[in-house]
Amino acid sequence: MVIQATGLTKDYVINLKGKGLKGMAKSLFKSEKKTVHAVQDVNLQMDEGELVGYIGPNGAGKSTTIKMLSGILAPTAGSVRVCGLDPQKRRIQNAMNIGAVFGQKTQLWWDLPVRETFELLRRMYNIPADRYKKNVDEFMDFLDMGPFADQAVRQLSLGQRMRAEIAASLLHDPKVLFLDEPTIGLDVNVKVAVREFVKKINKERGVTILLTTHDLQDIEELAKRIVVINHGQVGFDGSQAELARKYADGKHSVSFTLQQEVSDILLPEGLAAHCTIQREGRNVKVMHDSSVSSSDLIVALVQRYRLTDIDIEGPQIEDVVMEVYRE
Amino acid sequence: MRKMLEKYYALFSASLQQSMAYRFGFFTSFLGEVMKICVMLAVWMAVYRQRSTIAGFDYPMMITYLLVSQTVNNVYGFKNDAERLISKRIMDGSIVFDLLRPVRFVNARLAENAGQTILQAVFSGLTLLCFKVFLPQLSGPSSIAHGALFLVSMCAGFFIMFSVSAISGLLAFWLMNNWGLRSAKAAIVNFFSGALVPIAMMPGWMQGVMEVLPFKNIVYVPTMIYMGQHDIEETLVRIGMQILWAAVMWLLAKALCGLAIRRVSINGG
Repeated sequence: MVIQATGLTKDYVINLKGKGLKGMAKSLFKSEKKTVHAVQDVNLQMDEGELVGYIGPNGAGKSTTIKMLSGILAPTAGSVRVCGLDPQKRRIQNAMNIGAVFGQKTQLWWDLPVRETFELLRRMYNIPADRYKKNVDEFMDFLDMGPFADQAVRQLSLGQRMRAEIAASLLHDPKVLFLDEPTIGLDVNVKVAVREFVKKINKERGVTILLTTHDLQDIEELAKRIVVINHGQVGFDGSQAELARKYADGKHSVSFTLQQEVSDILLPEGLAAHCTIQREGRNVKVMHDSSVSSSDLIVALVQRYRLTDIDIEGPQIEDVVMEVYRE
Repeated sequence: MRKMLEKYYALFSASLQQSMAYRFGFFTSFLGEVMKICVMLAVWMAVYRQRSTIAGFDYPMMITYLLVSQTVNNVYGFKNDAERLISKRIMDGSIVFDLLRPVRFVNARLAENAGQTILQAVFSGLTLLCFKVFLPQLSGPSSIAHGALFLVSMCAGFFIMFSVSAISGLLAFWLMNNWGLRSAKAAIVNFFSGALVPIAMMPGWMQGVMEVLPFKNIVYVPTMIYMGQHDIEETLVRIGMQILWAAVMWLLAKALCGLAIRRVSINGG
């Protein structure tokens, strides 16, 4: 077990500011406090080499969880072990085992060229010369960083910078990688490059990866296992297929156009109970749950009516996730 | 041990490199400091036109005190960097990356601050030599031994200055903005370190207060050693006191940092 979090909880105490001038003056002397439960009783186990998509709406507690796993924040309650270490108490040792990218912030030295930053990281992590060279060469090549490796970080575009960030987080061969919104704001090409790279790192090096993102295509392509957090609590933990099964019932549909006008659409007994029909003139959409197979439904329909433009739709991950977030 | 030092040496050199990246800003603010020294010189020259000594300081001594103390002050950082280095990272949340690295937070900032200080020391030292050309009254260290001990004393002063700045910077964890604290600290350190007026010129009771506080060890003590105001034996005692204060303030800064990291949240998602 590479990551083991049990009953992980983080509360923040927030000072509330009064309204208007009067409230402001009042809060100078006595401020009201409010406790926010950012993360509540989260249990998370990850095996070596797993890639888990950690998703949830803004403010759900994703970043807070990652900060606790990386030793940056102390949990209010619960216990964490990363590679067998308590990340807060053994922060320095833990730092050698993990890498992290926070998409909204930069870990690169703003005024140094990318190459110099890498060199600085080599010295900070005491990376052996041969490993360092191998990693830099491989990352530079795969992420196509050659053209901007000698530019100062502040002159890079977001896409260039993000590639450098991800490479920087992996130079010291961490066992665990935390990716907090690594694709935020990137164009399609860079997104694809980043995904390919993450996939490769996970597969070839067996790096355990926890990925948070709002881009569900990242999740669809990368994460076999998904953990959904909402209001600080884990709402779902399982495979993509299970997630779809659990939340996407009734999200399958068959749409078609009738060649002739009919008064009513009738389905056989066994199917009708699992289907809902939407109609707009000749355009019909039959929605059904996962106990009905689309092919059975189509066969039944074709036997009774003359159809064109048949369109089968499975549950979209967007819909599934929206369903989960709504809870 | 060598491996551990290598980490911090890496930060030291990166910080030196970064300071050089902002050459223009560095030179302009440095020029500002030189102008400030010139204004202070003009004021003291006017004062000494009326009197020949004040509190045991004659005109050449005063010129030397002024220039040496200002140089020492500028070596430590005319831009108050140790403090900004820390509070800025806390306020904008970039401290997450500092805590992600396999280095101790305060030690790493010390290494970075030392990197900036080297650059400041070179320029402040050169400026002092320039002043010597125009003001023959400015005297060198009173002996080679005093000169060497002055450098040691300045190193100890740097540690105290850094620790005080670090403590003040770390308070940004609790305050939402430490701008007010920063200016207050700058004023207190400037006044009580003897960077503005020699402590010997203060009224008796104020001298008593200043003797007890650690701040005189930052500027006043090294400057007095440079000027040979104490014999070697007393100089060593003074340096011993400085080192003691440096240790106390350093440990305080480390303790505060440990406390901050354990209990405090991080800004910005």
